[in-house]
Amino acid sequence: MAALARLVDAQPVLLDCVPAREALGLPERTVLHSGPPLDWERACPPVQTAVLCAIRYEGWAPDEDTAASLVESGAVTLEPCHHSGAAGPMTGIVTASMPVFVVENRPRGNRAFAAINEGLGKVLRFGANDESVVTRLRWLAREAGPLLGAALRAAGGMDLRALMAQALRMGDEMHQRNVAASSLLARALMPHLARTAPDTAAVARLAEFIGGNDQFFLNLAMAAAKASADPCLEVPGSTMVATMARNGTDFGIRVAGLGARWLTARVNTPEGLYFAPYGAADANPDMGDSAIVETVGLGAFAMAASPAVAGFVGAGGLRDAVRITEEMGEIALGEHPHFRIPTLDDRGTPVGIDVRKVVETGITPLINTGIAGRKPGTGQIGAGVVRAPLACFEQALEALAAERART
Amino acid sequence: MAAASIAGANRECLRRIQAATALLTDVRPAREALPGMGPHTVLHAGPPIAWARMCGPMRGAIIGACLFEGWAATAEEATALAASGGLQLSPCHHHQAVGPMAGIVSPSMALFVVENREGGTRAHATLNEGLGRVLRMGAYDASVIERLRWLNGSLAPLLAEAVRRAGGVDLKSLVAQALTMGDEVHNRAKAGSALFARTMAPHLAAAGGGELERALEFLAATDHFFLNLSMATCKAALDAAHGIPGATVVTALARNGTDFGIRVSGTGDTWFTAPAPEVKGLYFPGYGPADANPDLGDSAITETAGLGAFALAAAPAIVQFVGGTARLAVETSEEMYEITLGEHETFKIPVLDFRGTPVGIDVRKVVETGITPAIDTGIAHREAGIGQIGAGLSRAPMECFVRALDAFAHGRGVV
Repeated sequence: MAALARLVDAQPVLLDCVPAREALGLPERTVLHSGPPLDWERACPPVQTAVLCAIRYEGWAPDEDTAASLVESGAVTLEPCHHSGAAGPMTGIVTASMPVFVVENRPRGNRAFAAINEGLGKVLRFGANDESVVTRLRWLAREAGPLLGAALRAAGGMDLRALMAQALRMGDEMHQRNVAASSLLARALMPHLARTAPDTAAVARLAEFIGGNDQFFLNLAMAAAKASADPCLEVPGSTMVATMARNGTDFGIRVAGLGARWLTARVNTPEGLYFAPYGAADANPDMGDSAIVETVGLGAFAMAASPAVAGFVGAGGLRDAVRITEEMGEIALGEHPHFRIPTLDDRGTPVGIDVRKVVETGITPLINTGIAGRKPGTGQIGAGVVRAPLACFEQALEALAAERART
Repeated sequence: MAAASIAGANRECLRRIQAATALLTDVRPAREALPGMGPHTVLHAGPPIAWARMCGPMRGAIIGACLFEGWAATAEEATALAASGGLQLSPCHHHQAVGPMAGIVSPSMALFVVENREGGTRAHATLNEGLGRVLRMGAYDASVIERLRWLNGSLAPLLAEAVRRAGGVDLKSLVAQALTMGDEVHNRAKAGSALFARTMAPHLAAAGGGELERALEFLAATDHFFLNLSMATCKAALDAAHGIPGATVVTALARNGTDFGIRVSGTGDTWFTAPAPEVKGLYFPGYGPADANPDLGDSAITETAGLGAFALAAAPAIVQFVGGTARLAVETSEEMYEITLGEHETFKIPVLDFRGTPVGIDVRKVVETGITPAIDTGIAHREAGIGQIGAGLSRAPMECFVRALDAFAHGRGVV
């Protein structure tokens, strides 16, 4: 229960937006990716494509072939976001010059980071790699990041827990639906942007970018969730899950009582609804660090708060949404004191996944997710739900038993 | 009139209400925007009423308007001017406008211009002032007048420029989105306000100027900003459905703080009135029911269009502050299906599995079932000059509907 208390007492505050090289101390020629550690040869096509695109974007290689040889020779290294304090949606790519949001968990002072959400369509996180992707990344680094950083510093930080609690009451589950949180954040940020930006044309460009992206808040929800969950990794004996993440090849969890160790299994492919003309055969297996929001009791765990998402991901109507939240309650240690669901008469969302309960009941965590095309350069092809593989939790339970036997 | 032709007229009414579009196209002073707006015309909420019968907050707001327009230097002068018949008082509803609470509109006040191009109507509403000591709640101190000057003199021109740059703003789509985000767009308009602010921000920034930061601050701080826009959206839709012979559909529910009035499509411009009811609600600290003015404002136009309390299931936060549960919110909406003719094809409620909101209040159904329309509302202090003291729920008085049905039965005032 100590781990659960740490998790739900967290108070993530958005402080700044600065380049990853400053925020994370990220060196050149390192590419962060989502999920547990991953060898290049085992990486799925969207991740490989996004890695090579990031290398070109950073100017470490002029073309794909040179970029690939840099990775293969070890001249460019791959690391999980989670090892550097970051969380990245889908491919989760972060490199040194990319601006990242800085979120601090106020009571404990630990920080977590996430890149700026690029919007929908052809974007790096879904493995798209054309010129429009690189051009947008350059604009984010050159203009959007510095503007956001200045505005946030002028605002003196923004309380993300309060904002997320409000958004949950407004139909967001903060994974597949972030329209309320994105709108509330944009509205609150705008006056500070206007005050700190050098010219109004730049404000207009950024306001249009933020205003046109209903998933803008997703990355902030992820950084807030990571900042909340990370302190739990230092609670010996606890069976609570502190990280769930996927890299398109493996699903990995980390557990409070096992520290930094990953327990992994082959990742599942989401089931859901596809944009025309795509179908299940085009889908990449699940990826992204975004399952950190389910880890803190949001996303599919809060499905009852978001009937619109239940429809969007093909999970049915309100009754099905409520059933999903109730099912997740069976593997959770408690109800969140701050994140409450109006349609359940203000009950807290189920939070704190217990490895023991997962193994006992056979109920695995459900995750709301975007679906990337498996063919490189395609981008998003749909949205759906996916289950965490039971094997991760079985391994964790064995490891916890071994840990207990050892001490 | 035969039942079949009534049904046909009502169907047409319902079709027009739902087919209505709502494009915000401009922000202009009332003297330019409204028909019949003379140099000393002052519009108010609800059915027609003379100064002598006006409630405290409405008088307070008229005093404020006189100070704002420079027609009087003091409250006493303003009172004397109004009492001597120096102002042409007229309902907003008679001039293509709607006003929340006291609903006061004077010639220099800026109005949103909302066009229903499908129905060929246009509706207008002022810029929302925020909460607390505000004109619409009957306050008129220096802070109120200063805010009015900034809203009308600085924010309105900036918004007008931004609206033009945006090529208009689709308010119907914002209402539909806000409904899926916990708003019923009457007493809760937070999502609508945030969506509107986010939509306008790039255009406001492109318009630029020295007031940009304050404008964005005001939009960020004003959770009711969208209310006036949703009201104009509803008014534009209902005006298109007004004046259909034989139709028993209500096209306006409105209160002036003394009387509650309804208008019905098939009975033209006749108001059927009864004393304005009390509001059941929650009071700000230091105030109670004895301080409350009876129900006030044109904002019940949202209920008339199937929003507000009719969409309460979408906004459980509203019932929580009057001590109710999410269940009560659902029950209120469910009850309103009993007195309406249809389910809105665009405005949907997520917790009812995206069922359309109950829309098209039928006078006959109200009288038959004894169920009167529920209304979400703010509560103003009964004395002039104080402002908002709470918020709650009220019910339209049955008498209005009985009188309307009686008029139908006897062919009085029927168009």
